[in-house]
Amino acid sequence: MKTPKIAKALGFIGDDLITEAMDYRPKKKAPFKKMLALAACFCFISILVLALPYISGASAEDPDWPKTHFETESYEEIAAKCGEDLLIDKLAVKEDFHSEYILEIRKGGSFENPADFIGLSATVNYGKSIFDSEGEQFFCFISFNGKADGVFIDEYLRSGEFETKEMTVDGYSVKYAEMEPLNKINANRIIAEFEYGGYKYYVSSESPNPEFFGDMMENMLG
Amino acid sequence: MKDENIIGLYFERNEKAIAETDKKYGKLCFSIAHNILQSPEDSKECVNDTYLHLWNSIPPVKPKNFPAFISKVARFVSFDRYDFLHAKKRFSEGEVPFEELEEVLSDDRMKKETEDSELGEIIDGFLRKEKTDSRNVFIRRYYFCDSVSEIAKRFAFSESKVKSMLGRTRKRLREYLEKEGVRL
Repeated sequence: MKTPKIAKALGFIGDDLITEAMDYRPKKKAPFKKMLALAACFCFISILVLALPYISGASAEDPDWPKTHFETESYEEIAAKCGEDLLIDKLAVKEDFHSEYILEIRKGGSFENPADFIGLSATVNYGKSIFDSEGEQFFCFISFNGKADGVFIDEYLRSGEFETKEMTVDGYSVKYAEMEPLNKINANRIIAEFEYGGYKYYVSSESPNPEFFGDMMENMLG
Repeated sequence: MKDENIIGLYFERNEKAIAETDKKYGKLCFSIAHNILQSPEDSKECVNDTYLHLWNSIPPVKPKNFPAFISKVARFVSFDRYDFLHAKKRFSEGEVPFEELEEVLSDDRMKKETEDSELGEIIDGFLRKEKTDSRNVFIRRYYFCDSVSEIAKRFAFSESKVKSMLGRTRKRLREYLEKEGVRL
């Protein structure tokens, strides 16, 4: 295939857009910033200690995508396939929100057969749309087969690059880490993992509110 | 060395300019070329061609944003080589996401007499209206030609989320280009 014109045309986008995409990388929060944040939020720490995670997202675009992924914005539809004891009904904590659920199954499997399930991604965004990066948001990936392929929460938590902490919510142990925020609005970005009902959960949260993550974990596991 | 100092060396016709460019931006150039060509040897040649192009164009050009300028040159040089190798049938299809881009706008669906620069400006306008995450994921994929897994790692997203974001952004761009009358 010859280089399509649109690929060449992309070479004419603004320099600022290119350097913006060039520069960004998730980084560990600077210790002094963390200390300042902790000092400023000291009165909230006890609440934070009771709190928890945050997650990421899912979906896809390959020829087999519709055969291996069931995508819906309806909790009722996803609950009909996966059951109602996966905590995802507890992700919506406000009246106005956008949600998206994606169930992935193995190739050749059936959406009706739980044994074929690989993972379920649930994203809740309290902004203008499901992809509103400035909206308060929470993501949860439930691994049905114990693997977390492509879920970098798992990798980041084990990388040693981020300081991991542990907290307990109603008997459930949650390992979590703070990450550099992706934008100035959602200054509190946290990734976490825990086990529930025999499944591994990977979550991430982005919010201007330092209590959001803890509140979500309380809501899910409390 | 600061970018303005490196550019100064080009203006002085000091060959140290190439060495300093390589020192600071060699990896960037190689990464772009390799993402497009998938061949270390061809990529190295493209990096050298990029430096030659820089040497020949600076002066009179004085880039305001040196890394962006270099990346554009490396990209153009690499695409030229891609087309050359493809014409010679010396190329195996790699990771370059051309099919995904053609889904947005194939050459035969493009309004005649649309210049690359004109289309680029329209895409620029579209990207500026996108959310930061979506925009950066899109640019990493289709400007830098990063793989989905590289993007996922960079942004700490799952691969499926990256694919989903890309799919949705492509859909919005396709609609935008139709609205702008570029996509027939």
